[in-house]
Order: sequence, then C-alpha cells, then structure tokens
Amino acid sequence: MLEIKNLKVEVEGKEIIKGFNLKANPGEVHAIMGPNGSGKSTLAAALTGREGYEVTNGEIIYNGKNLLELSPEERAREGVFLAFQYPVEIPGVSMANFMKASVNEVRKHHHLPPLNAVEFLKLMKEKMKMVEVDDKLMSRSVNEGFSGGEKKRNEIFQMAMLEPKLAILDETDSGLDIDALKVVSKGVNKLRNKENIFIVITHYQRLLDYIVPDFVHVLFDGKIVKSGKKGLALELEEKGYDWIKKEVETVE
Amino acid sequence: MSFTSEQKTRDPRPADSLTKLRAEALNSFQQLGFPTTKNEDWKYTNVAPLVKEGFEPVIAKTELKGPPHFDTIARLKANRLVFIDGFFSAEYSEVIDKKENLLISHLQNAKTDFEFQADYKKDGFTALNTSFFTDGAFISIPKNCALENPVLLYFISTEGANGKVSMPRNRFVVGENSRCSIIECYQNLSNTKSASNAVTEIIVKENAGLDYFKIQSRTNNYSHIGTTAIRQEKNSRLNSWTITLGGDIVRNNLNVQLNGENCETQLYGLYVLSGNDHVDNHVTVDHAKPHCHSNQLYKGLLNGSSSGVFSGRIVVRQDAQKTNAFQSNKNILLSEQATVNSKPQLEIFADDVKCTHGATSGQLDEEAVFYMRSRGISEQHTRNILYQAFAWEVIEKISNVELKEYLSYSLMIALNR
Repeated sequence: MLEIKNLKVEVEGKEIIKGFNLKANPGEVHAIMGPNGSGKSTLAAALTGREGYEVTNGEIIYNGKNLLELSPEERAREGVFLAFQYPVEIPGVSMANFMKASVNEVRKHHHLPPLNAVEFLKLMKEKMKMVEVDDKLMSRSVNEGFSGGEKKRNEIFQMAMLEPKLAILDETDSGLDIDALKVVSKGVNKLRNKENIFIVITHYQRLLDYIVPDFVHVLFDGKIVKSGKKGLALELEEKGYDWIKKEVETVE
Repeated sequence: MSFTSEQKTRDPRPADSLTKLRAEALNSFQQLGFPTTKNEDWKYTNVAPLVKEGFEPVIAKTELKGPPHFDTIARLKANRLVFIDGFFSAEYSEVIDKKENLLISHLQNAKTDFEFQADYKKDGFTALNTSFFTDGAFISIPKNCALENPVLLYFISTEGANGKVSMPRNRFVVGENSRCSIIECYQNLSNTKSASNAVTEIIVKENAGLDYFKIQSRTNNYSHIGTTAIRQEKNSRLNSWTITLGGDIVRNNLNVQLNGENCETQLYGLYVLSGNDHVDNHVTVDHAKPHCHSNQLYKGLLNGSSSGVFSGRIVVRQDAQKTNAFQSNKNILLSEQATVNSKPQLEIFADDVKCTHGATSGQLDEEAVFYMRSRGISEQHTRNILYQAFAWEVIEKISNVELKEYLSYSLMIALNR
C-alpha cells in the first residue's frame, strides 16, 4: 500500500510538485500522464530520493514506512524501483558485477545469504530470457554503448532481477520504436502480480495500449487535476492536453 | 640458489672505469645540487623537507632485528630478489627459472659497467645515485628466451636504515626476440621515516618485449625518488606500469628512448593518494626513429590534502616521421583540498606525425552514484566500485592474474586509508 499525502517538492528553490495526493493498492497499475513541465520526472525523483529535490511538505507512506526518511539505497532495499528515463552509462563496471552487488545488498537487507556465483548466474539467465535481453550485454559495462532500446530493456531486466514491490517507470516509452516498446511492455506485464504496485509515468498514451493501467491520473502544474479509469488515457490522446488546461482554468 | 656461480659473467670492465664514473657523477652532483622549485621540472615538487636531513646514503648492509614481515606481494610466483635497505639479501631471494645464459642476479660489489647510462649530468638525484650506489638488480635475458615467470625485485626499507637513504641501481637487458616481466616493488616495512633514491637502466633489444612494473605500496612514512631510463631498439615492445599507492614525497621519472623503427610503447600510471601524500610522475618519450607508436595513460585518485603532478613530455625528432604519440592524464579529486597539476609538453620536429594529449580532473559522476544507490548499493560501496572502475583501465591489461589481484586489493586498501 502506497499513500502520498499533500506532497510538495522544490527544485532549486522553485516549487514543482504543489500538493500531490495518491493512493495505490498492491496489484494496481497507476498511470500518471501529463504534458512537459507538469512535474512527472520530479515526482519520480522525489519517490526515489534523488539529491537536489527538496520535499518541503507531505509524506510518502509505503508499507507503513515514511519513504522520505530513507536513503535511496534503503528505499531500493525496501522494494522501490525506478526505471530511469535516461539510464546512466558506467564505464568499467560490468553489468554482471553491478547486478551481483545490487541483488546481494537487497538480500542482505532481508536477512538472506548472498547468492554464490552459480546461483547468481542461474538467476540472471532466467531473467534475461524472461525480458528478452541478449546475454552479451551482461559482460559489457553498465549501459555503455547500449542503444536506446537496449538501455530501456536493461532497466526492465534490472527490475526483473530485483522483483520490486513498488515499480516506477519514468517515460520508459520515450525513444522506443514500436517493436522495442512491445518487448519492454511484455517484460513489464510478466512482472505484474497481486503483490506489487506499478506507477507508469508517461506523456503519451501509446505505452498504455500495452501496459494497461487500472487508473489514470492527469498531472498538471504539480497536482493531479483529473483521475479516472483507463478510458481517460484515450480521451486525453484524442483531445490533447489543452483540453485539461482549459478545464483547470475554468475551475479556477 | 645460483648467484655465486653466475657472478663471474658480470663485471666486464675494470673497476677503475666505475671509479671514474662515480667521480664524474659526484662532480655533477656538486654542480647541480638538489633541485629546487625554481627549476621548471621540479616546480610542483619541493624536496627540501626530504633532503634537509642530509639525504645520506646507506653504505653498508643493515642488521635485521628479526625476520621481516613481508607484504603479500612477496608470495607472487616469481623469480624474487629481495633488497633490504638497498642491499641484496640472498636469504630471502629465489630464482626459479633456469635457462642457459640467463642472469637474474645483483650488482655485487657494484663493479658492473653498462652500455646505457641514465643521464646524471642533468639530474642531481641520478648523479647522487651514480656516485653512491652499492647494489641493485642485474638481469640479463639472453636471445630467444621467453621467461616463464616474472622477476620480482622487492626493495624494502627497515628500521636498520636509521633515516639514511637506500640507493639501488638496477640494470636490465632484454635480449633479441625475448620476452619477460620485471616488477620493482618499493615498500617501507618500518614505522620510521625512510627513503630511497633508485635508478634503473633498461635496454630492450630488437624484437624483444618487456612488461615493466614499478609499484610503490605500503608507503607510510616513505619517500622515493627514482629514475627509470629505457632504451628501446627496433621492433621492440614495452608496456610499463607505474603504480603509486601513496608516499610522503614521490618522484617517478620515466624516460623512454625509441631508438629504432616500429617500437610500441604503452606507459600506464596510477596513483591513489590521501593525507599529505605527494606524487610526481615525470614521463618523457623520445621518438628518435620513424614508425613508432607510444601511448601514455596516467590516472589519479586523490583524497585528503594530497597532491599529484603529471608531466608528460613527448619529443618527436626530425627523423621520426609517421610517429603516433598519445597522452592522457585523468584525475578524480575526492576532496576539496586535493590538488593536481598536469602538464603536457610536446616538442615536435617532424612534420608527418600524429600527436594528441589531454588532461582532465573532476569528481565522480554523481548521476552514476545515484543510479547505483537506487539499486540498493550503499553509497560507500558505490563509490568504491566507481573508483575501482576508474582505476581498472590502467590495471586491466596486466596479464599476470596474481599481480592484478594484488593490485586490485591494494588499491582498495589505499582508497580506504
């Protein structure tokens, strides 16, 4: 269970998120849609604890814990996962070593023994197959020289390895052609279950054809201005964000 | 152990030529003195604190109070020569490779002359070493010999030196069509201040290949001034690693002469500094002949109030057409107090050459730090992984797995001092 209450976030002294509320139950997929500059990526950053994003008000209660009191690594170990909009290239660190360090730190947090080399390799093979990732990527440096599609697929692979309880997809569809989008969505759908919450942040509706949300929220100027079922995404696609802008202005 | 049987093959010239050389070198030193920061080549390295006590050489073997506590590098599978305070110790040395005409020994009595000299007319420390050296390694790899195991020259400082400076002189010849690895490792095993002033002269003959390592680890209270002068002949290959994991005042001069066509030269360097460590790497690659390729890659991780210097000089002489010479120096500053000075010097007299140089200094990529933390890896662990990844570019091409592991491990210790 995730509950975000009246969240306000500043970046360099400027308020970007201006009172954000959301409740999500295990098993649900929530899409957060919004035009450029509405605060989508700031929301993702605040959820994962990125430096430079100052939360000035509100709470993020997740499984009874206030996430805002936890460091980024503690949040990850508690099951929070962000699929980055721009995955970072890390020269000199192999994917395999990176994932091994990651998986074992999460296991340690849950009082589980570290995986040995054989167990780890087996897990990796299984997950690579599941999300259709080429095993050649594993011996390469993290994201270094990966194509746009490979980077996004690699995010989903990491998600599969860590089996998060709260997965946030930040513009995962950006820069993907339709085939890559299908592969990525297929991976995500395989990871959906009754236990986990997905928050899918996107500008466009097309991703939601493949990752079908239970709820759609429209973010505008740092607040949710409209919520509905999956049909809302189609309506947005049809009428465009100007429709929302006008509605907001009329109310105000 | 086979040192005594081989000694007769050294010492090709009478002792009086050495006496003459020493006198000339002493004369040079008296004119040059110790360098000051007014000297352009020593602008960033002040040796005054090091030489103010006199910088007196150790002139006789020192007594050990008990067996020395060697570092793990001594366990490397290698032909091992141990030098205690600059003097050869037969007791702790062992040569495991046996080949006809192979000589892995030491300059006992310091009589051996050599066809190639480090220039003592320009550098006071080299002059001092030439004048006072008493011992050091002498390695001669015969023609057509691929040495199976590396040679480890393990130079340790002990309490016995009592503040005096050991001055080893090493001379290696890698014969035609031969290949070998030679590791010089300098450590201070005492708890007191100690220093060494070393000179190494190397000839890599036609078609020969040398992997040369100079490693300074366990460097608490340790200062080191050293010059390695290398002459490469036609079609030879040199890979060099200068790895300094700390030190009070360290100066590594590496001078490589490419004296024949088609030479390949890869010079790698890594320095991991903290506290008040000061390390100065001065590299000169002298392209005297055409069609040679040289590359310098020096990387530094600097913490605390440490300071690093990199000076990379590339000379391309008029005859050295079709030269490729590259240089790169990259630094990560882990604290606001750490400093680095990087100075490229290109002197190009030929017109058909490719030369590039570049220097960077900055902090870790904080985007990468956040990315890794967001996968559950702690901040400290993340930083260690990223520092190691930065250093890896220098270490990864080392073919000796055991040595590579030793260096990866020592690097972590140096980072977390």
